[in-house]
Amino acid sequence: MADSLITPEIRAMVGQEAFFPGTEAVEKGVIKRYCVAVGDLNPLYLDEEYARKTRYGGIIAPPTFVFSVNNKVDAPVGEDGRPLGRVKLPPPLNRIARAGNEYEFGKPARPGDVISARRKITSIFEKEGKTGGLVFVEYEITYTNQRQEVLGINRERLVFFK
Amino acid sequence: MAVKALFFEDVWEATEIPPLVKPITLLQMCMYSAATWNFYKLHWDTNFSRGLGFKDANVHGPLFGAFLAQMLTDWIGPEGTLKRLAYANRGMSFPGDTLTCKGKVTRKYARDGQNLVECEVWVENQSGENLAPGTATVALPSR
Repeated sequence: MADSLITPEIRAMVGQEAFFPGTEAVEKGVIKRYCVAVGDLNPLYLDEEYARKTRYGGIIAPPTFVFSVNNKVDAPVGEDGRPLGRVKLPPPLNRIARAGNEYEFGKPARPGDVISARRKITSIFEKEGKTGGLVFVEYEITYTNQRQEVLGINRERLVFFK
Repeated sequence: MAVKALFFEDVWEATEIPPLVKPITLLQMCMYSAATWNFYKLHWDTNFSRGLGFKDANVHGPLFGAFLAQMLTDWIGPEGTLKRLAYANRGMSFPGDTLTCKGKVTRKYARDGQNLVECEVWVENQSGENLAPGTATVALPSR
């Protein structure tokens, strides 16, 4: 097998944590924009009167909302529009693809929640692909609200290659 | 949208989940970029995407997850709970595609006081290609 693509610098990333403190609270308008964009008009997410009569007692965000909505609207982005703080590997492993997600859903997010995220890199491994080496990076992002309730955990895997 | 409650006793292995159809337009992809405040050009800038060698702007990976979650929550109604959803973005989707989310029950069991139903789920395009295979677990009330 060819030389390992996992340099000591890359190996040192395992266990690294990054904390993204909450910013503005979730609002009904932000939830509604997400629902209209996805095309999911479930009244549980949009109609306070309907939602009040359910076990949730009021509007909640859709389950995938916490994993998908970026609250850090002033985060620096690169020329291509991607946030600079994303998980990435040093050159030459510049190309990237998504390699799977697992969402574990906790308490639903609600208007008024301030959502924080903690990301921990859990594993880095390599495989030989058809056209060369592939380096997989797995991390876990845990989302909590201001009451430390877990809203969700996203276990995500990316694959990097030359 | 589910109009009647779904109970644990109503589903069995191989029970099919009602499919969810999503026509894909660049306009809606732009709305999703805006709503998630994610402006990666691959998802809205046709020139950028073609410059990278793609046929057109790509549908966002997490949007497949949102579609699958909607298929499941529409099916289980407000009394059911979506516990877990795993999916892999295996294929790309572009403006003009029609995606269909599908699924079926693979197993049901009671554990820790919950009635759990495991499902196989996936997203197909108009050519029947499976773009996003996945699995999900829901909890349902009992009669």
